[in-house]
Amino acid sequence: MRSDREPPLDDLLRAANRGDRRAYATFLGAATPIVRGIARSRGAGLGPETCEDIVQETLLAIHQKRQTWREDAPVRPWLYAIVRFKVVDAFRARGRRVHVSIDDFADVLPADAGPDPTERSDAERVISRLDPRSARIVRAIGQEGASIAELSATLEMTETAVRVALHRGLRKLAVLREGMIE
Amino acid sequence: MKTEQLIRAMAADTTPVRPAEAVLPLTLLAAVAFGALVFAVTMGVRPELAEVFLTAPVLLKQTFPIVMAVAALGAVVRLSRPEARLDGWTWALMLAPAMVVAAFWVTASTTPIADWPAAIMGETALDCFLSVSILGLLTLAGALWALRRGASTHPRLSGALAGLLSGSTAAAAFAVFCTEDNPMFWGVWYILGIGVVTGIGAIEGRRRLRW
Repeated sequence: MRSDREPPLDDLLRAANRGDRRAYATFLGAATPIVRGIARSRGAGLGPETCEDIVQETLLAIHQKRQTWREDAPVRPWLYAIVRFKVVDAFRARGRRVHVSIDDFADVLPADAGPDPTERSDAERVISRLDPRSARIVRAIGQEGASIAELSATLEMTETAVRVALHRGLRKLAVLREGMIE
Repeated sequence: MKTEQLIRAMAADTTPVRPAEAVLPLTLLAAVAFGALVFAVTMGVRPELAEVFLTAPVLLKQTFPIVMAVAALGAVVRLSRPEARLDGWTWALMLAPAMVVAAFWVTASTTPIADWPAAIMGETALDCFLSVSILGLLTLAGALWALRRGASTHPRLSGALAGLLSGSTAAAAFAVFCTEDNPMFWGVWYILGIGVVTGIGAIEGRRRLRW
């Protein structure tokens, strides 16, 4: 597994909270297979797209709630508690009752995305419901790999304004995804 | 959008985060202070408070809601972390109810049963109940708003604790004004008022503290 080579998740998230985006991307990248493993093990029959939607909802929740991690506490119990809560919640919203216990995190194998890319996911539909500017910023950074500085130039906004629009866009995304399934 | 693309967008959002546990007590206390201020302006202080303050019933009436509020504050802040459990706070939460039960019991055992209804009803039962509930609900609105910053994985319990905090503070504020010192009076009506706010907190928490 990855954890042999990469720094521990605690260090990554601590660095991320101080603005290190590379550490944050690595942290989220390391959390994703764990979330996906749990979602897939519970979601037999739901299809890989729906499972991936659940993964994305959970990642957005981690992002929105990252300030609730206390830096002197181990990060895994915190992470697992969020994953457990969100995965159960996401299944409930889709009319399924699942049970996730903390022990499952030791048993379930982390899963890779697999060959089937989920372009046709909820995320795409939800992004199109953001205000046009936020939608454009989220897409440009996510899909085209644009930087804040580049966007600030092309959109004629200050870098701070781009950051704020991105931040609000992601927050709105989390709220919309929560609401649109029911 | 692929998951890796979503991750890239989230990683670019480097808005600094302030630890919820550092901010939450302050915002909750602000909500509580606001409620108490509304109260001080509308009701005021009973005139002879200084003279009677050090008598046992008054002291208890004044302290039990404060003890309750402190325990509820600690518990609700603790529970705002997704992985947290109440642990020792469960015991802290039982302290104030134990004080009330003891005060009620001691008074009741020295009061003839025929006098119980008068002792319990006092003269301002409805005022007391309504003031504690209404002031408590005002505070609860602020407390629930503040708690949205947290990430409780027990929204209903967190909502109830927010209600307990709000109701208890309301009771502590009302006690400064209220001239009925019989534990059989406040042991019933204060608790009822706090109970209503706690119950509504549980219902609202389930809805508003989801994330």
